[in-house]
Amino acid sequence: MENEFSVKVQELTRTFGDFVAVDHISFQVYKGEIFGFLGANGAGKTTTIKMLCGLLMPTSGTAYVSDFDIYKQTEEIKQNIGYMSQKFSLYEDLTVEENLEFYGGIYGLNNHELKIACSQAVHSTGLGDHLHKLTRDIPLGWKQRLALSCAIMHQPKILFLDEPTGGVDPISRRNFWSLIYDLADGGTTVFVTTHYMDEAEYCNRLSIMHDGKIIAIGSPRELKQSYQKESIEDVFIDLVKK
Amino acid sequence: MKNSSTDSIAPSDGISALHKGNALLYQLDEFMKPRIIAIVQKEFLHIIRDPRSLVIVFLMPIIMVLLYGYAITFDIKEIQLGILDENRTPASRELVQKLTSSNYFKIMADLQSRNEIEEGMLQRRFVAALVIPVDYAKKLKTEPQSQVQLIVDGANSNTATVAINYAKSFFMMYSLEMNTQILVPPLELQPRIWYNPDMKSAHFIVPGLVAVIMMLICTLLTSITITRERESGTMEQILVSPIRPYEIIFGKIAPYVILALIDAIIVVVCARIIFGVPFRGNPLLLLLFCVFYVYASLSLGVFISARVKTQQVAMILAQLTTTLPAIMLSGFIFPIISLPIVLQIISYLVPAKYFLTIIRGIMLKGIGFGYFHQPAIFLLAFGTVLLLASVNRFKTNLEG
Amino acid sequence: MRKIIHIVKKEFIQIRRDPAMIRIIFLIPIVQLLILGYVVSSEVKNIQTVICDLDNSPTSRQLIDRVRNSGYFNVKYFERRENFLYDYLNRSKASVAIVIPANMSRNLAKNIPTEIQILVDGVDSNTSTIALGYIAGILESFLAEKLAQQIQGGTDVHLLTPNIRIWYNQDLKFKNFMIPGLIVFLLTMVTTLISAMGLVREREIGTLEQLLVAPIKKHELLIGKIIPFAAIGIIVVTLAIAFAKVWYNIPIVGNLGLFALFIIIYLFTTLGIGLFVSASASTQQQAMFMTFFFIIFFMFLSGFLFQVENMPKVPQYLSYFDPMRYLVIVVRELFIKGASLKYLYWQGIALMIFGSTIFSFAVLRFQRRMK
Repeated sequence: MENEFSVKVQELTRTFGDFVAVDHISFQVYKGEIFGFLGANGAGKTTTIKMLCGLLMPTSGTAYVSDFDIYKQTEEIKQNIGYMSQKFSLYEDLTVEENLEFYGGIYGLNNHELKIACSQAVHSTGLGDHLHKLTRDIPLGWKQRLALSCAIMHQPKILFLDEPTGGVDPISRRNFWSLIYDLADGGTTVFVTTHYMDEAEYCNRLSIMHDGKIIAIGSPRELKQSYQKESIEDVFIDLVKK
Repeated sequence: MKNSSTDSIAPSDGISALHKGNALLYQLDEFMKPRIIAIVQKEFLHIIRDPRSLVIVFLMPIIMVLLYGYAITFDIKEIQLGILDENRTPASRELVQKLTSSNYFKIMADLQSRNEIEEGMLQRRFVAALVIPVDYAKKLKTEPQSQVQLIVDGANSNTATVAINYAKSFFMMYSLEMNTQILVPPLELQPRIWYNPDMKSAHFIVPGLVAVIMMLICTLLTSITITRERESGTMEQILVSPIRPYEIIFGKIAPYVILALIDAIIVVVCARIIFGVPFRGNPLLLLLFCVFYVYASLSLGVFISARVKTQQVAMILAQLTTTLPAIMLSGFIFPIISLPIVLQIISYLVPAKYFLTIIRGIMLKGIGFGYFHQPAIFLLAFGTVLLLASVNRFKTNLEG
Repeated sequence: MRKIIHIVKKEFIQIRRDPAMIRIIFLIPIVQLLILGYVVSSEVKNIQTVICDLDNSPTSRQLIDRVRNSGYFNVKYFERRENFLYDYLNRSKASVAIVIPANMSRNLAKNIPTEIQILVDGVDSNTSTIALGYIAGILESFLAEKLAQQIQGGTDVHLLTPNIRIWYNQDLKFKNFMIPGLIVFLLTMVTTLISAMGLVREREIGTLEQLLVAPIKKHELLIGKIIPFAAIGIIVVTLAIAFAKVWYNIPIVGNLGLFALFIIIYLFTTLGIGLFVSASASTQQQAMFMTFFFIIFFMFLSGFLFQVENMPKVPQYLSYFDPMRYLVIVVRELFIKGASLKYLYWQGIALMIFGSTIFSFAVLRFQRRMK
């Protein structure tokens, strides 16, 4: 049992004053799967992901990430996860290579490991041409790939992506998702939030969030079948309307 | 208000065609239009939603008034003195007694040996030491001219100078007392001090604070607010609307004009109540000149923000080109006339210098408009030149 | 440790890439030293003066020459009508007016008391006090000479005069006193400001969040961020001292190594304040204002510009809570008098207490804020 799940969440809740951002949610994420969190803006996706990454303390409930308790073992969790947020925080005044080295460095890679991780990142993302350019000078799609590379320099077991493709063109998005598939094939669990319906279809399993609650969970196919809809979009609209 | 801001967008495209001959009138008309109000309103919301900034804007002047009003004192009270009496006779004790009762000196230490002088000065117990020599009493009776030694710690040359002057006049008086047969030439100084007869530093400093604080708010806040808007990308949003550059500028600075004026009033009221600074002139005249000054300083703030790209640079530049000169090169504390000539020339470009003349003139001297032609003209010219320069620059900077 | 090095490295790269920052760090202290140095060490002189000589005798002209040659007064105007003097003061054309009464020389010869009237614009109380002091001094020496003529004839006089010796700053140069204080002020300003901005900026651009999900300890992050600022502080101070030495030719009698030690202790305070501001503010604007507030407070109560001993009681007590006060004393005593540690250990202890309290308070604040 213990080895089966990457993330286990029970009755997780977070309130801000009177506002309940996340309302007693429970779910599990299997190792090596791409788990999607679908929901409108403000549904509680980002709050959930922040709690799992140790950026925010839950109000109540339990959650384990890689078998570590999110209340007590945040440091252990941090060692095992990668995180990339919607604004993919890069240092614009550092070059691509310097960003990679920096993020690898703060995860504790030594020089040798850094070199290997950098060349791997260059190999898998094709950032080679841009390596010595300032980050502010490269196109958005490349920045996003760079942000992903930075987040996986230390080969995390679980990768949290919080709306990673916001504002990026469709081709870049497709390229980005192929990178995510590569990662999942390599055994990394990917936990991704999105409000793009087409992206939802790419996930192995999907949970739909609305007003802080999980209102449906399952593989895209299962969801479409049980609600008898053609697409996830229709499922989503149908669910949210209720 | 919301309605008005939307319907104001409509007419701007046809401007040139419709009002070619009457552009100025149209601009005046347009100036009153509500879209400028929309910006003013938004700017006010920014200020109100950020309580910390609000506290700064209103609390800072009061704290500064207290701090400056009390902490800035120029007068040197008594000179701390150490005494080494090697004579120890009734005559030497009489001298020490006289020194003690004078208002010039405060006896801090009765020294036993010369080594203790240096020790005491390094410990900063006293800044001057008087050595009464072994043969003091004898020489005082026999010689026409005898001496005591005064050793002065020169580190703070101001205090040292005062100590020396005090000593000179003390011993002159003492000599005359001992030699009653000398006729003192009967020439006396009769000082009459105008405007600030008690020579209170607060009367000098606190009105000057109005100039500093207004400068701070006008330039620092405006230059930051415009660059912030650019950094967060909202400026672009505003620019795609048919609003014109000068409308943005006027709309953004209007709230700060009001804040700056409120602060000016706070400081003047504090000056009056806490420090009893007189207000001899016309308050309305002062308010008018405040507006002139605000105009000049805001233009400076806009000028800076039209030139720089990030908040950080804007802030530091604003501090260096406005606040610091307003404190250092305006005559606020340090008289301009004593500065090296190069700095005196630079000081002509500091708006605060002109405003200081005005506010001190009005509050302390009670003089009227007739005395302020020059500073008034300068402030208006300064503001206009910079504003015109920034409106042009503003647009290109935003596009580039 | 390796993680800290990476953060330090990143900070330095960022500083190197930001020309504005480099200018702030290197150019601005020099420019400020250049301008403020002259301003703060300026002695009152060139006092604009108008003289109304109603006596117009050799004696009165002699007196006027003394006023002119003293170097303190700029006698710009002569006025024949006493009631016109008012206008000179109102228009700020002159801040001192001297009226020599019509019969001064005659009265002096006959020993009839005579008063010389001095009108002073009291608005600038400092300048006017000093101006009055100067005039009193001039008159005193004028009288002393007249006295000496009298005494030459007499026999039975016993005068007592002080034999004045000046220690430490023999030429009584005000700049020797002010410039070292200014160096401390610049150090305080630069280090507080840049450290206050450092973390707020990361928060604003969002990279702080990225750092917080990394397995890096709060203290590692802190140390990594702070080392570059401390380095900058040390560079600024070194540059400023070198410049002060070369340009203003100020004496440095004491041990610079000892000074370096004090600087390092002091940096805990300024960086701590910067860090505290950084952890408390959510925008750069707020950080800027909070820093500005601290700096103003420090500047005025430190005794750098105004002697603490001359202040009223309350500001005097408050000044004990101003860490800059202690370093200002240290720098002056060290540079001018060459004082040894024996005379400065109280300042050292005070600075250590400030440094450790403020710094640990800031760290706590930082850790709480990051949760």
